[in-house]
Amino acid sequence: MKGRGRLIVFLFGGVALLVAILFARSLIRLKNTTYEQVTGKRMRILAYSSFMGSTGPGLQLVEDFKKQCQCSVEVSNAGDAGLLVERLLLSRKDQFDLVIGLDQFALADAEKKVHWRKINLDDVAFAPEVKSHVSANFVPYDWAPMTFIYRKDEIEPPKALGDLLSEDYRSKIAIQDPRSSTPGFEFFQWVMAVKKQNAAEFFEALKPNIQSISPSWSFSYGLFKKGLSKLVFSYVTSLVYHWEVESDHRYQAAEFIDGHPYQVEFAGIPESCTECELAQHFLKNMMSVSGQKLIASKNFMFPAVAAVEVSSTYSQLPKLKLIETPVDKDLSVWAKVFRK
Amino acid sequence: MRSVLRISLVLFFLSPILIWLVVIKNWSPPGFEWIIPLGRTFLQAGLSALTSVVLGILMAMGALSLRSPKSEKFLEFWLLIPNLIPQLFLILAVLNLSLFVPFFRSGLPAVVITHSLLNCGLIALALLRLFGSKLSGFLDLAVVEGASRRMIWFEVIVPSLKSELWFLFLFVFSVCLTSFSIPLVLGGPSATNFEILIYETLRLNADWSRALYYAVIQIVVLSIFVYLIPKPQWAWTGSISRWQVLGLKRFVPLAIAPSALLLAGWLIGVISSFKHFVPEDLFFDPFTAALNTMIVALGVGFLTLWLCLWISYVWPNPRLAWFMKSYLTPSNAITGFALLLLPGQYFEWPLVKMIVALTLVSFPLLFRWLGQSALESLEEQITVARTLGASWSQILFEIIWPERAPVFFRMAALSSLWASGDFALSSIMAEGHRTWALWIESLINSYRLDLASLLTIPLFALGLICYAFFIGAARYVSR
Amino acid sequence: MSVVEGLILEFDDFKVEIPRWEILDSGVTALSGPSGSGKTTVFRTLIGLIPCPTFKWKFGNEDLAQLDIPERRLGVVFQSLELFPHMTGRENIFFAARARKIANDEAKSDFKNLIHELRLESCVDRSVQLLSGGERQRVALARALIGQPRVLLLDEPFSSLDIQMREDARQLIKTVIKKRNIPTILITHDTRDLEVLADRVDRIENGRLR
Repeated sequence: MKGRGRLIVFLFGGVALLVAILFARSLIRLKNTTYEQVTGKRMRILAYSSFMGSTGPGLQLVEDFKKQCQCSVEVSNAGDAGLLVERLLLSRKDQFDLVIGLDQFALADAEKKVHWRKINLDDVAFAPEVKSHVSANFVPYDWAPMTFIYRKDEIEPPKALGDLLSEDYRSKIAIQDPRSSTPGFEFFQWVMAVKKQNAAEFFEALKPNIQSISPSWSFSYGLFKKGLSKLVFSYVTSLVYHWEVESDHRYQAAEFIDGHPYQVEFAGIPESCTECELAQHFLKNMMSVSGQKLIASKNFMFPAVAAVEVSSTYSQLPKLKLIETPVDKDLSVWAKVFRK
Repeated sequence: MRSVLRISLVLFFLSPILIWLVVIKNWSPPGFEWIIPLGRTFLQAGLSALTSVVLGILMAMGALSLRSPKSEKFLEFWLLIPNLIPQLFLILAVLNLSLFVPFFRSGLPAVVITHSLLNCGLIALALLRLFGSKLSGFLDLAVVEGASRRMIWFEVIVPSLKSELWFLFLFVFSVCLTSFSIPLVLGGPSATNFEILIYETLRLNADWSRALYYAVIQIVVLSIFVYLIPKPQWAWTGSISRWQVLGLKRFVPLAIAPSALLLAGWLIGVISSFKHFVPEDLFFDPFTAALNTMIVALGVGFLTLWLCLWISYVWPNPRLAWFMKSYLTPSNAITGFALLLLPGQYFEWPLVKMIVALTLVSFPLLFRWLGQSALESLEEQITVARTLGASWSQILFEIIWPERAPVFFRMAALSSLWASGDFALSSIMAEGHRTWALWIESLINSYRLDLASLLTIPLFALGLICYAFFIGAARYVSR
Repeated sequence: MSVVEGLILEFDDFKVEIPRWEILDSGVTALSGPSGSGKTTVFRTLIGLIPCPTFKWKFGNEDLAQLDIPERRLGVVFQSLELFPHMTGRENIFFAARARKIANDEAKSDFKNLIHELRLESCVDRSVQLLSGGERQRVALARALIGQPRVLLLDEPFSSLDIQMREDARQLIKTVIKKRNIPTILITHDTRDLEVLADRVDRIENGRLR
């Protein structure tokens, strides 16, 4: 075959082969969504990465739901929980039926930028810590206080926010970027709540003690586990993982006299949903006893429903004093200190 | 017909901006808040370029004393290792090394050092080539006259190469100006690059119009730099082993260091992973990840070839030549998010979007580097063929492609190799379709650097398969 | 006689102004002048590579200036020859035949005649990169002629040859042109070229015909 012929065969043949592979995979995907073929229904969820990851509760919840509803469920990964609203805005309006992972700070933004459907879950008895956060449009499904985690053989824990400025913690503290990480934002708001007008001075003085400001909680926790930082801002329930799974009791939580922020995670149904009933049903499953137990065991957070029995390790966690933190998303103090 | 195809080609390259122009309903022009990040970008790019050039000169000094005809090819390959491999490997190596040297874990120093490791070998090789093509007469004379090495280097070589050094500085500067994956991972909380500012504006603030304004500012700034860069006058050929006498042995470690550091950093991670690896660590389906990687990488290679065919058919044209010389992809973030906005989040559409995005980002650079001069050098032959009455398709298939197929296939091979290791741009569109590089990125995000390093071995194999596929195909087509 | 009219071009520091120029219908019309006189500009305008709105070239009933480059059906030998380096001599010549859509049998027959006339039998199947200067020049001429051009244009055709080869080449080309009776325009500054080949010489200086 001459050069021109070979070139055409190669170019067309190569593309045809790739298209054939993509088409075949699409067919396989369709074939595997047998439930959708039964009911013709497909529900679409937007969640954050660790909820739907291999170690999170999302996969099991979805599998159980698919069997129940005989429908298909497609999950989109928004990456960080702190970016759910932005990810929603970047999508087509009618794309999702359910959004999982908004925290209390994201709700104001979410309500302003997206329309939400009223959720009917009157028969759920919420835990007292989250009751005040229940609203018509958003359902809390888990929560946890936040603090600094440390290893007891490495450093003495701080007892107040001001202790973090001590020279003993020089280059030892791992925190997260509040612009992309919800724990990062929690820490920022915690300082704003406690230090008020002196927050900027506090952050400035904290700088020499910061080992890293990571874009995500998992990155900063990875640095901490590797021993590169000695204190990491995280959920108190992170201890459950270390105590139960790793059987490592060196990990402890610092208790602050200032009180601790806490994070509540919510789910909501956008008004533009097409399978709204299915979304409502999925939420009901999440709020059931079995759903709450699954979320607690995989997400390592407290259940939002009262009197759900979880592992006894949870009861060994320190009882931290909780405080409310502002919910506005004004990061100008952060930018002033850290984005110079 | 050719005019229509030419316009379609330009529209294809401009499509990310056009998509945004259609989608954005509310425009909020920026104030002056972009000036400081731009200044920071200039600082980062300037320091990166300066360090690369200085290191490159010192490396060339060391490399000269190493060169013998037998080792020439190997030395060239060694110097270019950081440029040939996907940036993921470089980032992992630096992160692994930062365990020992915390100074360059994140922020401006980390970005500058990584950029310098990436580019200094290229500078050193360019300088070594220059000796053969521009300085041979001077150097022969200086050596014969008995001048000392110091005199030759600082009174002959460096002063004679002022404009070439300036070209190399500007070249690295413009590359670092638009760098994305390195500052994304290593940049820290301060955006060390304008590209990251655009990305953050889209991802964190979902402020589309502002991001597009920033992208336009970046294009304007880059276009100015593209015109400032003089066209190099030297040929990239020539052996210089007869000037071994000019080499300075004390800089030999420096000549070897960048690639050695890269390999060392990577090996640290790999060795560490063997200590801690458990099968449960492989939390993803490797077959699906490998298949996704191959589909994306091969798709990018084929699309690159089709673009070469398209461009060859509508060449020559002075306006198109000007556009291809000046045009730089709007930004990785603008491109990625624009394609994310297009309909198609299910089935295999995300993979198709990744193929298009990665090609849009890599093609202009590859064309400027390899393709444009290859086509320009054929213009006289094309003119003759037209005077002989040849049609454009006859010119395309009987003159351009037979002579330039090796160049186009090399472009396809390189774009395919880079695409196999991409994570920064792919992550924007991936949805549930994870390539091998994206799984490695997840591990980096969890600071599992050891396992990430181990998993780069199969990734490298996949990339090499794609590269070899296109290089082999060039031979088949040219037979 | 074909007539060129209105060949007026203005550049930053130079102007070509040829209101009228007559070209012989058979034989060789030479355009001669020193370097920088505008010869190459005129050459490229005739081919169609430099646009000139006022330019007309009346050839029979047609104005060649209104036609696209391929439609002008010119046979051109550039100074740099521009043979296609990846082809053999034969492939270069047949490229032109296919470009002009010459029927296969006719092309084969004409090819046979051309390689005989131009003494290319021994080298036409070698890659052009392996040919001598004289062989390359003859291949370029064969390529220009196989397309049955209405006019043959030669731009400094012997400049790349040494003195002895030039004399042989001139005689050969003169014979071929005479045999095929193609009107030819020869661009040169070499007086010996003019002596051997030209049937008419027009001088150009500072962009104007003298």
